[in-house]
Amino acid sequence: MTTLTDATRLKREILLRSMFPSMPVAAHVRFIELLEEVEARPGELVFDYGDAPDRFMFLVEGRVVMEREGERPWEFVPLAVVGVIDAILQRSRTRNCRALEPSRFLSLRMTDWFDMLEDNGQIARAAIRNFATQLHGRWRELAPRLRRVSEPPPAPTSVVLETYDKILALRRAAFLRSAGMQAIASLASVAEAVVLRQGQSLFDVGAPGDNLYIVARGAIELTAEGGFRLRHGPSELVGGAAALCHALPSYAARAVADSIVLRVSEQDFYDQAEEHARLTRGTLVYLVSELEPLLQLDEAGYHPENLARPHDYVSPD
Amino acid sequence: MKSAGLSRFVDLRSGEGSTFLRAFLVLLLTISAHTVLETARDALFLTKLAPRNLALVYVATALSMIVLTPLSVRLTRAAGAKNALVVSLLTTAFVAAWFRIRQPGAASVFSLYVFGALSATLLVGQFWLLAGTLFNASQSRRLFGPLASGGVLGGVGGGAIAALLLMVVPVRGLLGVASLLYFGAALLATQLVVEEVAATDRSRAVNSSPVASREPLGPQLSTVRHDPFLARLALMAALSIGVSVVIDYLYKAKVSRTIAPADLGAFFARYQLVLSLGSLVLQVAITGPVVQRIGVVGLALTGPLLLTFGGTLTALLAAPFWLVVVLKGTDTSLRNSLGRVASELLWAPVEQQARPRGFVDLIVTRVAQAVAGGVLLAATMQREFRPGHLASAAATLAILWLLVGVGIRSPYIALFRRALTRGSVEREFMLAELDLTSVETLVEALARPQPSEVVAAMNVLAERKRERLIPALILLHSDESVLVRALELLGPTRRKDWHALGERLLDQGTPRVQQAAVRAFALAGATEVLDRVATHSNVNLRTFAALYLAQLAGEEMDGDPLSWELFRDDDHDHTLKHAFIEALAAHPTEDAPRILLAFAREPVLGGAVTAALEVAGDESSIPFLIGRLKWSDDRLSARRGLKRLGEPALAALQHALYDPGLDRRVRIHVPRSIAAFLSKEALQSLLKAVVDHEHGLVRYKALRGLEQIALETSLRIDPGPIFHELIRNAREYLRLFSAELSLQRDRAAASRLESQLVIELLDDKIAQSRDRIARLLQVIHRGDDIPAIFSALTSSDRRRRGRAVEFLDALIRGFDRSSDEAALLLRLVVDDMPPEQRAERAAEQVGAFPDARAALTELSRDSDEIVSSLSQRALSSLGSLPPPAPPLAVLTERPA
Repeated sequence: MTTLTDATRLKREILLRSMFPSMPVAAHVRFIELLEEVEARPGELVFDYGDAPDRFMFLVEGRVVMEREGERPWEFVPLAVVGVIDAILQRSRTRNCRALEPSRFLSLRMTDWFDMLEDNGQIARAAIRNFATQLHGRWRELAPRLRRVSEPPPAPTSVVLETYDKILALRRAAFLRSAGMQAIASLASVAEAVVLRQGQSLFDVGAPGDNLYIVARGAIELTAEGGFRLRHGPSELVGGAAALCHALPSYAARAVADSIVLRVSEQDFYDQAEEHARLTRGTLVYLVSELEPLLQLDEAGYHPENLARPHDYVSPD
Repeated sequence: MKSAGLSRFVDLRSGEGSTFLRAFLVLLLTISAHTVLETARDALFLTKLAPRNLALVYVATALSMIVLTPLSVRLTRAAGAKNALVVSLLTTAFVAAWFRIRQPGAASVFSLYVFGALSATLLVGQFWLLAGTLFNASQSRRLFGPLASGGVLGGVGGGAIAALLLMVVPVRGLLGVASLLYFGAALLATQLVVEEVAATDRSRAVNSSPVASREPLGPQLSTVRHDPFLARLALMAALSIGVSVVIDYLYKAKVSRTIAPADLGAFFARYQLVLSLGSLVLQVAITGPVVQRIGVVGLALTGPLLLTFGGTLTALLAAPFWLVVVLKGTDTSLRNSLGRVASELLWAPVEQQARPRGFVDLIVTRVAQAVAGGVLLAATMQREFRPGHLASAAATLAILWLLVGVGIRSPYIALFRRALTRGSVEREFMLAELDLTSVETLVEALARPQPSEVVAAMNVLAERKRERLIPALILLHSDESVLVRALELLGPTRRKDWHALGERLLDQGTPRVQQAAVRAFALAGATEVLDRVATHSNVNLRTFAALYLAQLAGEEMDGDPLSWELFRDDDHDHTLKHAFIEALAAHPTEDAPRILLAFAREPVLGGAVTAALEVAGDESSIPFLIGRLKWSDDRLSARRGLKRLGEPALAALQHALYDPGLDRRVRIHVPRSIAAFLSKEALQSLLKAVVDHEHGLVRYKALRGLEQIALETSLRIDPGPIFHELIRNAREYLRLFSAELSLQRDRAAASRLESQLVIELLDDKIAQSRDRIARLLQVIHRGDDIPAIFSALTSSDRRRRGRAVEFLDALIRGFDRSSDEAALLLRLVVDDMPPEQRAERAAEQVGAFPDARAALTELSRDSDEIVSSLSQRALSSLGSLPPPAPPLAVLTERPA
């Protein structure tokens, strides 16, 4: 490992603090040690389509573009994070990255980053909130326009949920898909079932947003000012990314059919995330996989064919 | 499928059988041949020459070896280890046949003796070099013991053949038989298959050998001298050769005096047979289990320990013939079994070992042999040695060997560490001092156009207590976030150079900046400025100023602060109350904790109160601070506040750890809060909790706390509780692993959703046990990057995996008996082996699960409620019990 000069450390620390102001100091310190310098001349490929996504990069100087044939290129300027989506989704690069000007990056290996998330609950929380905030901005605008695959099943009258039922409901939730059974089971053991009659309110605008709500059955409608309206079906996280970046207080939610919602306090969620590293990683994977289609929608504009999300509602049969 | 008997003898795994068997037979035939040849050689030598010539033989052998070994290495480089062995075996066969047809004279028996010694050393060395390329470090540990048995069995066979043949043929006739056996070994060796990768490694290794290269010996000697591990290996090799030479001389001198020349052949044949039989028993019954149980270092010390004892006893009893024979037998049998295995294992972690090993095996040992022979020669030319003196010399050398060996554990571990870790990560780097370049960097950053960078630079300065380097002119910045942060940092300093610019902001800044400016003046205690603000046109600023002035004047603030007149006009966000709390923390009064705790009744103020109590709290704040541990955003502040309060806070936390009435979400954060004290008392509490706390999550958090203490302090950590937990977690791992395997083997059961949930849960719990094992090891080996070692366990490189297993084994041994038990269990957890074999071996520890139903029955009694309830449901789904009616029929899962 190369020895960094104090001035280099400081430059890196300033960069990281300005990019991630909410990240704890201990994380910056560790980050600094793990970053590696990468330079690229104009026209040079930093990584190519199909490469292994073993790292992501902070663009410090210069200008780069990520390209894929047939799609609009994404251009990046300093302080942007490059290549993180493929890296988190652990798939080969879906775009190349080419320098447009002499450019300099600080790169971080994904394994090191995941180690950091595992070691430090604060970093994990900050990472989830960071991505959730990014996602939420776009989601608020685009989510209501997403096409539904099917309608949720009709809801019978209220019943008591056993832990087993809660496990099944949570296991199907998209944001817990990669969390691992133990984390799901632990969350199920602390999740409280909220039984709602059609029309009953789950929460109003301004209520403290310190809980996550997952629809176990029935349907919940989320509303916000400006005519925002979105219907959540079974196994969906009410508010999506908003629930993970403290943005729920700007929304209201009510049952549009007899429903059961599982309530997990945010504290419990992060307590479990500290014990089960897969919960953090799985949540990040969920956020990034939700963010990606919205990024593409951003470019493509609204087009019904582009808006289908196969996991919106699962057909009852 | 291999038989149970064979599996007791050798732990062979998939794909290893054929290679092992061929290598075993090659060694068996080679040693048989050598035993037959040695019998003839010793008998002929002592018949024709006096024992004192032996000293000359040792010197001649050593010198010849120095000449021959480079040729052998070049042969290996040119042809590969396998072909080199084949060529050497064929050459030996022909030379042995040539001695058979020559009439024995003084010169020829002398040459035969030297030839016998040379061929044995070269052939055995070449064989183990080849074996080292056939198996990795972890395989070596398992297989080298049984493989060495091939040599011992060869000794038995050779001894028996010699004893039988001598009944019908003269001693010289044995040489022809030896020649045939060497020839057979060569034919078999051609059947060995060397892996491509191993061949490349070998070629690289051989090319870097000291005798193959033309490098001068000086640098190589320097390398060995300056590497603590290599230096010890070299010294041990030299001392072991010294012991061996002295014992051999003593033994042959005694035989020459005691046995009639005509009976020498029969004596040596019987001796070889008995010796080999004893060695075989030693090898089969002892070596394998001993290697597994006492570890590599223990194994390396067994030889010198026994020879120390034997040599001392022989010296004390004036070297009776029978005892000398036993001593010689001990030396020979140990050298060919435990000693050889120990040597191979000790060399296993050495990267690019050919060069240093060649230097030690060739230069060091041969020089030692020549020196020992020279000393004996010089001594015997003066006068006849008394056997007791020789035994004393052997005992002394063995003691020295033992002493050098005792210190090898630490450099041995260090060597694995170097080979496996990917470099240490500085966990707690902080810049103690800023040098001129660093200061320039920061000042430059303060002038950057990006506000976020300016704020970041100010934060860096503040955290290094260098706020004075923030220029007052920063208050001319146009960005709100920069101004607010600058005022936050400048306020608590004693500087006054920013006051004029700060007052300017009271009129020109945004409302947020104006509030920040008033707060900064309050924190600075600038009452004259606050007096002026009290007459400001902005009503909010006037209120703030009045509040701060009252506070700074130390006015009595009785009663409930939430009902104070001051806050009558406070807004929905409690802005005034927040400002008051912040100012109270900056200038705490005696009454501050009471007032702050009263504010805390308003839930939204909880976070601000926690932050204030971090610096202004007293003992009355302890319960509140403990309660705030459940809030992730307040947790750090609460911990710092508790730590600041010292002993009473620690005592309260220790009580809270076992308080059943405490909110679960608070309790799980108590261990890490105790760890924050970084004291001996905190350490003891966590060691206790990690073993005996009833809640798994609390035990886990206690472990994380122990990790923190281990990494941030040099406090001595009692390994007892850690080993206790290591054993518990390793058993848990093995139990769950075996149960899951049984469940998965039953495809019908495993395909059911209910069983699938159990399997997924077991997967996670198995990973969790493994993670905890790694963390426990980190606690007792704080200097090592244990996660990197565990990551090496899953490497695709089998040699790297093997090294990781050996490293963990070496690391954990040597504490006490429980550490040995932990080491055995750990090997079961981490060793490379097929799942069925792991489960089979684990059965002794955790029981067997013959089928899915048995596994689920066992798991349904698990102490973990989720495991037990899911298992019960899965068991019911298999039809053992009537399935309970699902309470939520609609919520049935369908596999994706």
